[in-house]
Amino acid sequence: MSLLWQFVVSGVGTGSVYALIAMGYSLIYKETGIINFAQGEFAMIGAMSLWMFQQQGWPLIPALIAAVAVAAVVGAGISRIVMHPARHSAPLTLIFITLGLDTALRGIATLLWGVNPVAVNPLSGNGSIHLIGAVLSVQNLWVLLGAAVVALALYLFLERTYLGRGMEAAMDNPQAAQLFGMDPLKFSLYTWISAAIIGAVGGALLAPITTANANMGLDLGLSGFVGAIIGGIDSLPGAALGGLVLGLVQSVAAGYVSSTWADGIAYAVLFLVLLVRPQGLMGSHAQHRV
Amino acid sequence: MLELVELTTRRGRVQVLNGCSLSVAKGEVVALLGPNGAGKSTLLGTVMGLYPSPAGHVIVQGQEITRVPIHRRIHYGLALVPERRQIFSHLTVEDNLQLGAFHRRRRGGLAQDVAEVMDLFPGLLKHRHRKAGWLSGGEQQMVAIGRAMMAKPEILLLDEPSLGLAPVIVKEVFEALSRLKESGLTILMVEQNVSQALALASRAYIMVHGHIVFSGSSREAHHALSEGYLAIG
Repeated sequence: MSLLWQFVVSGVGTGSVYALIAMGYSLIYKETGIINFAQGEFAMIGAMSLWMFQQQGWPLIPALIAAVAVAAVVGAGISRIVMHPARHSAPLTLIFITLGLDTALRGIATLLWGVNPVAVNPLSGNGSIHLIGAVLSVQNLWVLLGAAVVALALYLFLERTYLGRGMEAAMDNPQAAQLFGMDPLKFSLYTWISAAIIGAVGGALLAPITTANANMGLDLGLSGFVGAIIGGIDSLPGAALGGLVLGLVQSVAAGYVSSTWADGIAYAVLFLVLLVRPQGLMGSHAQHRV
Repeated sequence: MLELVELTTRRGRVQVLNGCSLSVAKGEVVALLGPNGAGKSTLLGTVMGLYPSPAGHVIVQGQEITRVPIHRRIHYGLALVPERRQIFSHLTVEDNLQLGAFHRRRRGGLAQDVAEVMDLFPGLLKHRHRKAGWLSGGEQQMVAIGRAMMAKPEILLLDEPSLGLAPVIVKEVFEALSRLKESGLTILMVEQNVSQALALASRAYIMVHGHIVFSGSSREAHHALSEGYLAIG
């Protein structure tokens, strides 16, 4: 039992990073109706930039903020230079563009930073704490806290601010939103920047635990995507829940069965969820493209 | 106030408007009538920039806006109540109304403006915090009109406000529109309900196959229609 508790505690840690990445998928899906397969790269950019700034001797918090800012600039660039000009293309074309972006970003990262894993310093030492019998690294606490803060900030922005309501309106009915003065170029920019920031925070906080490398975005992106599908990609809370569930299942499966089986079991869960609820745990029934 | 000169519009390969000219003066209510598929909704959509117009001019208060992007047109005092309402169905009634004022630089007085809309449509008051998509068709139409009024338009463009509504609701909607008319609002409306539309409007245009084939007072339009000049009812 105490073993299970340990697996659950570690699972929630990774799961909360998946949750952040899954929310990035969900945001862009809701805004554009497409899957952004480059989503995992924002986590990689956050992690590798954090490492880079740490190498330059930057203090922790400025390095973290700068790393997230790098990802935000990349997100803004993707929106402005690539996705917005191509917005009238067919959905399949747009999805392939994001696949291309994914490869391109990974390639650039490899050129800049090489392929070797690098160790990223944790935010506050290598200590660990005991939580009702389970051991939890302090960095894991930072991951949980960071994920909660970012998720809450995103929620408050969308639900409680006038601009956030406008973004929800544009996701709901893009044409009506334009009729009422909402500029699709700006809104696309805000969406991509938000998706980049939440992904980068996840990657940067996770990196001290797992190490970082230029290829880490692929796995993280895939996990976040699976999480988003499990939870329901057209619902932000759903995507977050799906990410958490995936982290839990992987951790428990790795603990009880074998870590080589963890991914296989996670996909089996995805398969089962899709059989029972094709729209995901919290997704809405209407599968329409916005 | 609003002037369309030889306006042409294509949707895909089909030419929907073949050089339509019409004008609406300040404070006037004008009805645009015609059979299904005549291009009436396309005309309103073209005024708002939803469809590209290869030739012709859209002029609002002396300013040509034919090439202005959709999201800028509301700044010229145009607000559209679109075909099939197009409300933000996942947002509350209150949010729908407030977002009608999105283009306004200063957002002060939003609560006062929402209260004015509630005055116009008291039925919406109890649904204030419900998702707009859950409301009845008539209530959704009221949200759509209210949202457009929140933009404080100079000219209100209405696309079939009575479509799919029960007669008693149609009456309520048209009563609200006549209050807006009395307040001096300029309105251009597309409507299938000819008797309601002509009762509200002072002038009318009739469109067939992308051409404007008739222009005159409401009385003349009634006469033209009753003579079977056009097969619409």
